[in-house]
Amino acid sequence: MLILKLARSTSAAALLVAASTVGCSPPDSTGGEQRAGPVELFDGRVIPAMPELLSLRDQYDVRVGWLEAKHQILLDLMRDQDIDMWIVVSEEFHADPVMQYVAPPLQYTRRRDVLVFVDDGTEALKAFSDYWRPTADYARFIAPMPSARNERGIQDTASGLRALWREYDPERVALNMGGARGQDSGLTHDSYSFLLETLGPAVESRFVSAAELIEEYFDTRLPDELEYYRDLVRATDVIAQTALSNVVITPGETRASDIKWYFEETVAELGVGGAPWFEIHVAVQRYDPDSGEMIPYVHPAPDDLVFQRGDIIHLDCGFNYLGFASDWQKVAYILRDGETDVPAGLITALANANLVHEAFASGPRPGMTGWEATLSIAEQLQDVDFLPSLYSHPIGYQGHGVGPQLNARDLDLSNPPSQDSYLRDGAYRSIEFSATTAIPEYSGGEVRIPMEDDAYLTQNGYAYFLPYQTQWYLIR
Amino acid sequence: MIRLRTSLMTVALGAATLPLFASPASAQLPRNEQMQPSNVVLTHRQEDPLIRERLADRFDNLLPELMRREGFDMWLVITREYNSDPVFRSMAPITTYSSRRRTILMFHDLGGDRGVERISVGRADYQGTFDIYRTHNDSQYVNLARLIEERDPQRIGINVSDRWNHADGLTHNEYLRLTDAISDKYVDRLESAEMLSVGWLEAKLPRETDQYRSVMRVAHQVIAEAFSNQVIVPGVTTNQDVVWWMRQRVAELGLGQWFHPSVNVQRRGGIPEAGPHGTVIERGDMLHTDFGIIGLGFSTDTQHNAYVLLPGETDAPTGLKVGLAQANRLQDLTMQHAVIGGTGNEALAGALAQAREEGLDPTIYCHAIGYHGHAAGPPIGMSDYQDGVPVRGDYEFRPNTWHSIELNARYAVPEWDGQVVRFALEEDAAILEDGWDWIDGRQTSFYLIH
Repeated sequence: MLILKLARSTSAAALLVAASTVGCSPPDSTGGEQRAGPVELFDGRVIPAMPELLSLRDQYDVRVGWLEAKHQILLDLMRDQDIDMWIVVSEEFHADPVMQYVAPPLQYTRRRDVLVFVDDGTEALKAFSDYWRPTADYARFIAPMPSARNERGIQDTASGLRALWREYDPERVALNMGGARGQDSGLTHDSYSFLLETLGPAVESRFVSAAELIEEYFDTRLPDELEYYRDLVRATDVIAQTALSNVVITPGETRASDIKWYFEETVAELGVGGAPWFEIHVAVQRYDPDSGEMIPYVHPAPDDLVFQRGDIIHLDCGFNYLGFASDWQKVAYILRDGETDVPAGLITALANANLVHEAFASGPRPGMTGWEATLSIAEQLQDVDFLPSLYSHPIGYQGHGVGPQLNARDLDLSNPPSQDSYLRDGAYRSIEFSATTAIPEYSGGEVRIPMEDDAYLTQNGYAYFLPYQTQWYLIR
Repeated sequence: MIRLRTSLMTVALGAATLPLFASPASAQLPRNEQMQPSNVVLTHRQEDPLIRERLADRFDNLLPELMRREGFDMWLVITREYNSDPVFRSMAPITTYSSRRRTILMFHDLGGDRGVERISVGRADYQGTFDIYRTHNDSQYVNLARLIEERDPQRIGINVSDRWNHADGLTHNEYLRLTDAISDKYVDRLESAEMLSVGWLEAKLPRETDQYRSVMRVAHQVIAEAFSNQVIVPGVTTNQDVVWWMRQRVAELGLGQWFHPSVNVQRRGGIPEAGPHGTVIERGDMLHTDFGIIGLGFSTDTQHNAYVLLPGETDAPTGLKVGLAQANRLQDLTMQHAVIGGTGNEALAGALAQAREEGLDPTIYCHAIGYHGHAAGPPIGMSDYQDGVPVRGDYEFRPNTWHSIELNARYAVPEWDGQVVRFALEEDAAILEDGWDWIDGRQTSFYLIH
């Protein structure tokens, strides 16, 4: 269990003085802005209040708390996968992507640092590194390598690695290579050569890919993480809903790039060290009543596109916070003069998308392969009169997490994935898809409703962190 | 320091009209005038056009010369989402938070005035920064091989390096895929592009140096805030409180950080033992911070010192001021000996010898700075290499590069019973065609805390 230190009395007085002088709020609250309360819009839609997010110091404390549980999980995973040793080589300004999740999340890397995890058959995970300035937290998790120090206390990495190798004589040694993704293959070619030079060419046959270990480690969630992640999703929702409202959009004036920057700068102003992890963008679908045709769907919309009445706007956004990422897509409609709601066909289109939401919620179960889960969703959508397209990915530490994809573009089930794995109980997923519906009011023209919601897997299927969108976000 | 907010109603405010560097700065820190509202921190939206313009300028006007200098007619940068190559950040707009999925960037020298073509093999053009050679995700390497065959490069640079971590971005995975995809003839032409990466990262345009000054000004002001009674209450505040205050302040300014800052305490009697929540700052303490930020894509690195006045004092004891002046003198000597065309090790040897001759007790450990906090370029010593840094220390200073002048002088302070105190300073400077220039002045007196 975590106990959050929400106030630090020793520093609060000083910090409050600072706040009043320079207009900066105290660090133990959230960021630089007063949290906005709920906002009610003209059509009755209520944008919820911004949740309280953690200061950088509290984020660090929370993540260190999680690390203890994660190290226990790591030991179990190494044992399951018959891995005796896991070597993580990290380089300054090119830190291995696993680094911040296997050690307390402060920066540690010098030219080249090596972190070694060992399962020696005892109850506790053994961890060693050559890191020269361990903090007290770091020292609690990771011991110094058994190697000599020079006069300044710096250890020789190569002799440390050789000593560990002699002591534990590991048969299967996992390295961060051989995976299909960036975050599971961090080992550079030169660092691979360094390991071979250090340990001798005979060890090469003992090297195995750590990709599966990393997937299990990254895709295994702690119960404690859930509510913190929900706050990230809430914050994403508040910013997205505000972006898709008259607070930000004035028809005929506001441009696509304004949405991108609104999201970006609002995240910066949260003051929690968050940042988008991809370029935030919108796409626009538009029906031209004069020609009776839809404009071609451009995704993403060019920066200088000006929103017009009658536009269907689709926003794709997300950001990093607390070592996690969110990923979120919603739709909005700009009322034409005289309209008070979307055309009825669009209500149907969104309701169709909601059927896909429900199929995701009800079909998949823990233990299914990605393909089995895909089929469990697809079979519920066989007879619908719209076109679903599924492209859902795991989420968690990264926006595009490692783990099973649930892919069936245009519901095409003829291409099972060549590589697959299984759905983990409690794991988070970005439920991403589109539903394309012919709209009577648009002369039968098709509108694509792309959706993305973050959810977690339970024994009864996927549960959404927040209710999915069932009403169009209206802009007037 | 006010973070300038652009509401969507005022987006017309062009970044070009903003004062990048506010009123002429005193070269001596701390300044009397602090927290000037005119010292704006640019929002990312304001940074975006500045970064794009300089990026185009660098590709058009720096890269051809550098590729020819290093003898490469092709350079490949292969980078993955969540594991970006260390040079990637210097090649992409600010709206690119990471390389997408797999990104393969090909730079090919067309020769003469035609410059270097830059191609992204895949699906991402990074806001028009690269010409896209559109391929399906599964056929990126097939198409890369085809493009290489068509161009028939004689020397192909790849980012594999033992000596320079900045130039070691290629993963083992991608190396295997690359060498598998291209014919043996071209595998034989692969070579480490390490000095091309170093050259690309260290070279700075005049406009970049101007931009860097504005970022440094912000960093200095955060230190000025932290080392003041606005943040520190003697007898109450711990050094860890100040550290986290700085982290939070920088986050609230929307700026990045590349290392966790430190605040250390020296006092009469020695270095106090830290409690579980750090060391409570007391009157009579000398404080030292090591602090850096990331703004406009550039990293800063600064070490400054403060003194907490005892009752009745109006300034730091003379002995502490002498120690700080000795550290300033060591800065002067280091820069005098670091000259264009000379090496880091030559500067180290020269500066240490003269400093010792003058009676100082010096340690010098400077590093390049810019696109990374510890950047590619010649180091002048490292804390554990005072006799010269192998390999990298033999690299030479080139004009229009930036360096963090980082060092300390030890001095026995009479008022502290002859205790040897470490006066550590770090200040960023540019070596220009006509010599050294501080980016935003340097500390010559203590920040005073009442």
